[in-house]
Amino acid sequence: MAIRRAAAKGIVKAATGLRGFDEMSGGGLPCGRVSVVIGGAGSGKTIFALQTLANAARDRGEPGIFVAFEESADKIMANAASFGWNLQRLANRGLFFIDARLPVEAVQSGGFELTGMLASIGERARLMGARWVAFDAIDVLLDLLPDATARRREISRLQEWNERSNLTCIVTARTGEASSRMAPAYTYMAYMTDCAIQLGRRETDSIVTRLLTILKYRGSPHAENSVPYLIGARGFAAYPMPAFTGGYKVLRQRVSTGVARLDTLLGGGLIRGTVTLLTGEPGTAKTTLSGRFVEAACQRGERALYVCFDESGAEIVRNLTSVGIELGPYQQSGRLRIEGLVSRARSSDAVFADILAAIEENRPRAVVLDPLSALGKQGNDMNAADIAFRIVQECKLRGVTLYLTSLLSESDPVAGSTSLRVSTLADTWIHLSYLVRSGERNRAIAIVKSRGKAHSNQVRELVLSSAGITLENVYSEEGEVLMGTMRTQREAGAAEKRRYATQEVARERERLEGAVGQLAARIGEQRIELKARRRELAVNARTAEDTSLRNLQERDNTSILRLADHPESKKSGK
Amino acid sequence: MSIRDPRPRYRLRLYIAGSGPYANRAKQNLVDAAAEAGFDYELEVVDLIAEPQRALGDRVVVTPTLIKLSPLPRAMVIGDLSDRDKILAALAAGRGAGQ
Repeated sequence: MAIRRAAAKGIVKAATGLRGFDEMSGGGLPCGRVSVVIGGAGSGKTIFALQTLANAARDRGEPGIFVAFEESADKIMANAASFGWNLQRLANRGLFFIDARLPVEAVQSGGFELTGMLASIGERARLMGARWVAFDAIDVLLDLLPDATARRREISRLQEWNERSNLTCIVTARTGEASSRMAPAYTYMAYMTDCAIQLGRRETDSIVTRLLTILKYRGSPHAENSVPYLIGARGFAAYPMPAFTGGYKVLRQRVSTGVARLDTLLGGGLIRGTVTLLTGEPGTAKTTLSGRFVEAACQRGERALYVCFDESGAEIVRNLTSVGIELGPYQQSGRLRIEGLVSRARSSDAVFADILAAIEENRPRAVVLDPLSALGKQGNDMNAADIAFRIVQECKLRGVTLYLTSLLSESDPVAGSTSLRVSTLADTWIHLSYLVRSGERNRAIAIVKSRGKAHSNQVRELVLSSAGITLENVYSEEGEVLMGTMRTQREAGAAEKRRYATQEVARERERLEGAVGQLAARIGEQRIELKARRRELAVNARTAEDTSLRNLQERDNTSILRLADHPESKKSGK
Repeated sequence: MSIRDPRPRYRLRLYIAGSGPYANRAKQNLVDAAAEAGFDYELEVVDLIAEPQRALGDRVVVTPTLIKLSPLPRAMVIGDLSDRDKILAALAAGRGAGQ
């Protein structure tokens, strides 16, 4: 028997196999005790009980008896047929139905007790070795009792019987109306039994969210908050918040975004199993980048899932073809699944269940939710934020690399992203925007954050063409960023300037070379002149010497001395 | 009462569980009703504590349960039979002379 022993109290639990419930109850229902499931009409009480018994019988070979007070066994089986539990087969081995409806012709005369029925069921359980029993819609029978005291007595009787029979027992009872409050007449059931589960509902903006609450669980800790649940394609499923955030493997492998230059900006691509948030106004190419991401995944041979909202997969495939992204072939081969979900008029929980089912069925390695903000439309944003958180957790647990796109209002992108509180969950946040100048809207891409990776902090221009996606450098001029035609012009202008500058240098060189040449020529001439002058000077010096020797005897001493005092006057006199 | 005229002999089966107050009251109430209404009957008492497997055949859910096996149609009365008019009405149901 799949049971778990709660450490302190020694409570033994019997797994229900219901999605989410065993998690929030710490292992299932109290083994050998009575649990009561209360809820309004159509809240899924019967499904809760029946699916638990079917799971136990099929998966663990634990036989059970299903006692139906309201519907015939045939009708119950017909209703449950779509869930694929294979009840017809189980009915022959391990799941026994008792039709406990009173015949229509039955007349009531006075009070009664359940003793006889319990004795008979006990005998049946003994013979088939049953471990489980469910009393479905016991309120139908209890309503015939004259007063609350009588009803309470029968529930006591049932509990006493159950203690002796040692069956794990589920009793379901309908509350008076479809509200989340129990009809006062049945509150005693919650007090008397060991475990009480309430199936309620909350309506916000005409969107109904079904909520499961464990009202009490004797001797065991359990989830205290109401948890959304659904009656889905496979039956009952509750979606408790994951108990902790860190239970997944931390990966180091890099995954390409499919855009080479973006990978470079991210310091070598995304890290596998991380979450990337793409924010931006409508038309900023969130879907294009997402499409490229899944295309790249498929090209690597990985399975991928693209979840879009309020748009068909075919439209997305067609639109992406215009930028050279071909998803069609991968979709046909089954490597890519495009899931178009309706988000309007549905609760966020129902949408979440669909997303999770798609992930579980397709086992993708790359997932896109486009846009995540579709979840925020329904109910309140708080709930949508929880769901965003859970999707992230589910993907991280599976090592799935996730892209979330979020539509942001032009006025306040930061407020927009924080409203779903996704920005804190995202490992990488890429913001896309428009820059409008000179009559053009150009797309800009910037990495707001990227955990655990060196990344560029520069804005790039995102250019979409039939050839695909490219990133271009942007020019900044006087504090403004230039893109598109302005960038092209700026690029052209720069080239012109370079050419002009080169010519300018050449001209300058020519001019300088000319000047140098002229100077050199002049220096040459002057050098010649200098030589000539020196020669003249030498001649002059010799002449002066000859003159002084000849006149030495002719002149008196005084004359010589005076000449000696003024030699220049003689020279300059030439 | 109308059932006096044909004076049928009822074949009845009473399901009880052990010998608690409900079982005793039901038995006594049946005896009293028959005496007052003056009908004849043949009664089988089934104690489900002793024979639990017998409940399923007659689809007995609660105890006490009284079943009229014949004359047809079958009738079922649940409870301790404290409401005499109800018993008599149920026994007479389907008969031309009844209401």
